[in-house]
Amino acid sequence: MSPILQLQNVFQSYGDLAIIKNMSFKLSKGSIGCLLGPSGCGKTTILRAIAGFEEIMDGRILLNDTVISSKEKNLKPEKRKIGMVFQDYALFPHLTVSENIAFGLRHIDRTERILRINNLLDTLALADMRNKYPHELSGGQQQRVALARALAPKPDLILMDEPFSNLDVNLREKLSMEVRNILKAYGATALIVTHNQLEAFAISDEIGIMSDGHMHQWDTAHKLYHQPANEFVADFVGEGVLLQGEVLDKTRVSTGIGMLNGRFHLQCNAGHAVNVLIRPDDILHEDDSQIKAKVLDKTFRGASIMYSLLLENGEKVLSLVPSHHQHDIGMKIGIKVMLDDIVLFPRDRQGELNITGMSY
Amino acid sequence: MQDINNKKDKQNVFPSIRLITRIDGWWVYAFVIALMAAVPITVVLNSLFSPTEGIWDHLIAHVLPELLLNTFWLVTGVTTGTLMLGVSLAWLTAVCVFPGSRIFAWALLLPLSMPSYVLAFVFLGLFNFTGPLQTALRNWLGAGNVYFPDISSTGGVITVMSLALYPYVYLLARNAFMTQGSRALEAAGSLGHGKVSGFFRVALPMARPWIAAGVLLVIMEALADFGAVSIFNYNTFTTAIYKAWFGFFSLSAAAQLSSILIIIVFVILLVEQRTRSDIKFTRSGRESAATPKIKLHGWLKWGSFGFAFSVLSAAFIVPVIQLSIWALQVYKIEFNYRYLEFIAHSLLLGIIGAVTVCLFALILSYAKRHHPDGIVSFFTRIATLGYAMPGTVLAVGVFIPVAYLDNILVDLMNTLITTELSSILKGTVPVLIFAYLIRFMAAGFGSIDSAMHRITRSIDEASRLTGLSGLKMLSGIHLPILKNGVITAAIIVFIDIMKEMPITLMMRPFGWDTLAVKIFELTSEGEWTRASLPALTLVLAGIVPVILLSRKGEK
Repeated sequence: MSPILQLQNVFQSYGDLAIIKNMSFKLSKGSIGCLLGPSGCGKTTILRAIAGFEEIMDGRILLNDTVISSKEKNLKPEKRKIGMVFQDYALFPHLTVSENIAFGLRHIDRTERILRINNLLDTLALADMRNKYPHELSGGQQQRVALARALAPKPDLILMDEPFSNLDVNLREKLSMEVRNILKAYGATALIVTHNQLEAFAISDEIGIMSDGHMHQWDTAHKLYHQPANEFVADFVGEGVLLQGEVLDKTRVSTGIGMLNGRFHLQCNAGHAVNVLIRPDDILHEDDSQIKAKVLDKTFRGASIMYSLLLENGEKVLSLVPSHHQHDIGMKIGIKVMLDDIVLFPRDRQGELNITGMSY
Repeated sequence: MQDINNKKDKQNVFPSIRLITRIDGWWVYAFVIALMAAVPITVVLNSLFSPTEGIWDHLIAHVLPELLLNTFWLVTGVTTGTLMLGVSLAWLTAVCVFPGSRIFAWALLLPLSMPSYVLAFVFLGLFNFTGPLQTALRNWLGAGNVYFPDISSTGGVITVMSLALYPYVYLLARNAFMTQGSRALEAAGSLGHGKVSGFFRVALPMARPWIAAGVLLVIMEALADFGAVSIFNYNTFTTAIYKAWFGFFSLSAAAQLSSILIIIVFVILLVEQRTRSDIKFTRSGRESAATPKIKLHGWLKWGSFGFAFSVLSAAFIVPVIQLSIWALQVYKIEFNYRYLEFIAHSLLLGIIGAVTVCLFALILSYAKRHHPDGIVSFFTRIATLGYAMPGTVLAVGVFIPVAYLDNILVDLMNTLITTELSSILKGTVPVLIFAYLIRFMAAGFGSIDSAMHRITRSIDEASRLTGLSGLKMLSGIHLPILKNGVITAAIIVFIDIMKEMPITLMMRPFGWDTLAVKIFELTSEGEWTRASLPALTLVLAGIVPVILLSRKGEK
């Protein structure tokens, strides 16, 4: 399947300040992509460059195999057939819900236009609000109107900038599922920007992890979690710690919680100094285990408890266990590691963690 | 809290007792201030319903048609003029980048410092037959070859007032375009609308309530204007009221003309308040901090610069230069003991007025704070209505009850001791200050009340918990928070009073000539040059609140 959207080595800067460095990724038709990263990492800039609101300094952006942005050329936003849902929705306050949705449909035949609007109003459960003004709607309703308005002209691509950041935390996960279903129902291709992993996991097929204008990894949620490309991704996605270790052979590595045996996700030679990613769910409590750790801290999370544990060599690990495993702070407990796939990253010569590095 | 306490103390007395207990000191103060403002309005309106024999017929037959027609043309012309200047300049400075656009953004507010009557006489002096421009043209082209439009015409007065008043529309429209940000335009862009279509279908309709509010302010100013129209000999209600009173000594004719004007003004006011409430809903998303502006190129770039520069020149730069030239010519003769006296009067009235207004505005604002809803906020509305009353109307509305009270007092005095007194209150400084108080209450109250909103209930509660209450809380917490608001209010009112013309002219004590009064007297004799010195002084003073305003805009 040919990609709808392609970014090829895109650079972007404000003055001397580089915002986007050598960004490349592809998004195929009908799939929902997500740019995930801490605030200020350049993800919104990328979105605005794709929409045509920002010019790029180098590289190319292609939509349906046609160049829409390059160093020389910048197709006007209104010519791109790209819809956008803004972070603050940017609904037109002087127009009703149906007028807002109709705004991008002026070149379309009247009967077709009415048909489309009614269809959208029904699908997005907005039929009762068609004659209301934006300020009369709740946050969730406003967001659906913004989505309907962007979907109406049947754009090749829909961009969404932090679509849930204005909404109540409790609503977010529910709404991200809802938005996903609507986008899928319309067969839309979408690129979404967020800093919230749970939202990203809930809504998207593919996720790009960004920081400092770099794309670290473009992959499915499952792969990001279980096979992170580098330590930044490992650290950013999910919870976990990196323990120092030394590779013994092709399947074994020795660490502060003993010798681990499993499949390495990277080729490493024996004797290599590495950091090993340990997720909280990898650590189980086992009273008669050889490996002991001291409880430093614990956080009750309802069904489970997150323990912070101090190993004998001074390193810390997290452990997520069912909440009937009660241990007091200061207690020494036995732990066991359950791990089939081992994620490890070579440590550089100084022995310091190389967090910001892009590739290994 | 208060309600609970009341219930405990006065349970089961009367069901209506709670209404009565709500009437405390603050309630009474607010009521009295509202009453003071209501008196002149009531007096003026009353004369509409109690017509004096003969006067109405005369007015309707000989005076009203001309006044209504003149007012209509003035309002229509000035609305069109300010709308075109204000909206286009606001759009250019808020959304576009062209040479000097950042300077123009605040500089285009400078004409606010120019009282319309100053601009009026400078224009007359510059452009009339003997003025420097026409003389130069005649010398250059020969006497018979120069056609020049007559400046002292309807077109002339409309031009001058549009140049003096466009900043109201500019300020509000710019505010609208800035707060819209480019987000709404981007949204339009992503839906296939280009910049031109986006402007007419999104930006302009969204800014409509702001623009309307600006235009309505302009209309109220145009209706209230006395100085500029009298310099142009353009008869409107304000000049007719003045003439009826001081020319024909017919206070009842003045009152009846006032009643018609005030009804026109209140209709405008009603419309204005409705558009204000629309503004709340006219936002598209949040204000976006970084709104990328449109960079203009080629002829658009220099055309925009030329346009903004010519408006600023006509409304501010050229008049100030002309005033300075004139002032230099007459400085030696005019700057004397008499001139210092005018300044002293202006300053004194300004200071007393500003202090009085701030004091009453503080009381009103505290009253509103103690009774956040219900009738007290209605009182504050009435108390601040005076800004809508044209100065001439207010003068009539204050003079009539004061004269009535005066007669009673004089009679009373004469029964006690035989005196030669004919008046006690009329033509005194306190009465003049009273009129200022009503006229400028809104200006002072606005900035004090917005500072008051920053003292939330939890601030009071927090200071109580740290043991600070009563006067200590007032001086330690409230005053520091209110300080800037009060200072701003005082400056605005002070400058407004300095520039105020009709009320001062009609109500000043004998011999209390101020700068504005002097300008009126000199310009009514065509002495433009001699009027330049007081005018320049007022313009310089008027720049202070403009700076305050533009600073507020930056924040």
